[in-house]
Amino acid sequence: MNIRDDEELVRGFMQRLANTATPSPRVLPADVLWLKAVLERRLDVERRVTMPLDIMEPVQIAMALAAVVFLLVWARGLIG
Amino acid sequence: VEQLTKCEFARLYQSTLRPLWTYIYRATGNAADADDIAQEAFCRVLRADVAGLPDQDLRRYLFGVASHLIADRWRKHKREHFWRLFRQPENSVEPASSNDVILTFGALKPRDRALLWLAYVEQNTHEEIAARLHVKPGSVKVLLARARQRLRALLTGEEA
Repeated sequence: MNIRDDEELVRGFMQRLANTATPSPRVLPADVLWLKAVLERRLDVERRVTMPLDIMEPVQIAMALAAVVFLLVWARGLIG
Repeated sequence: VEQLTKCEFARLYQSTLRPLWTYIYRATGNAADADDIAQEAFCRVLRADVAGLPDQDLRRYLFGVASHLIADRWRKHKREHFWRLFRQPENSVEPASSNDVILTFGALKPRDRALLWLAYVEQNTHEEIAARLHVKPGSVKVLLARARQRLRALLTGEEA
């Protein structure tokens, strides 16, 4: 079988495949997807705004704990 | 931020849902995967700065995103050893006469399926296929020739 026959065989097969029926897509309608995207965009903005707070929270806790430990050690030095 | 308007998106959705879904379905062989991937592809287009692009470029972008998501899913399935899910396409709603065609196509590797579909059904150029499947433009010709060879072997019963 030469290259041209090959090409025709494959082309014919793909044509038959393209013509076979497929199930119906069960995708959300366009307006629902649009709403979903609007909500996701809002969540993204919200996330961007709250991200510095989320990052700083554990840092603040760690600093507070370090300060408490420092004060305890210092107070112990004064008493002792 | 330049995103699509509701009206532009509705038009894109209307004109591309069926061809996009069919491409994904034929590449994955699974209707539920095709639903998920098509939906995610549309959502990504809505989040991207693509307003003002011509219809043809929007369509190209959408198919590119879908191809990327298909590849991600192949990798995930491969990792989880679920590759068999892609081997046997569903055929419950398809007439018995088309079963041979579908089963033959389903016996190909997912990438071969995507390559052949884009080349012969979507009539994409090699450059477009390269962009959609994230391969080098120079490799498309070779990959396509190999996919053709494997399909021919399945159709004729000869060794690839």
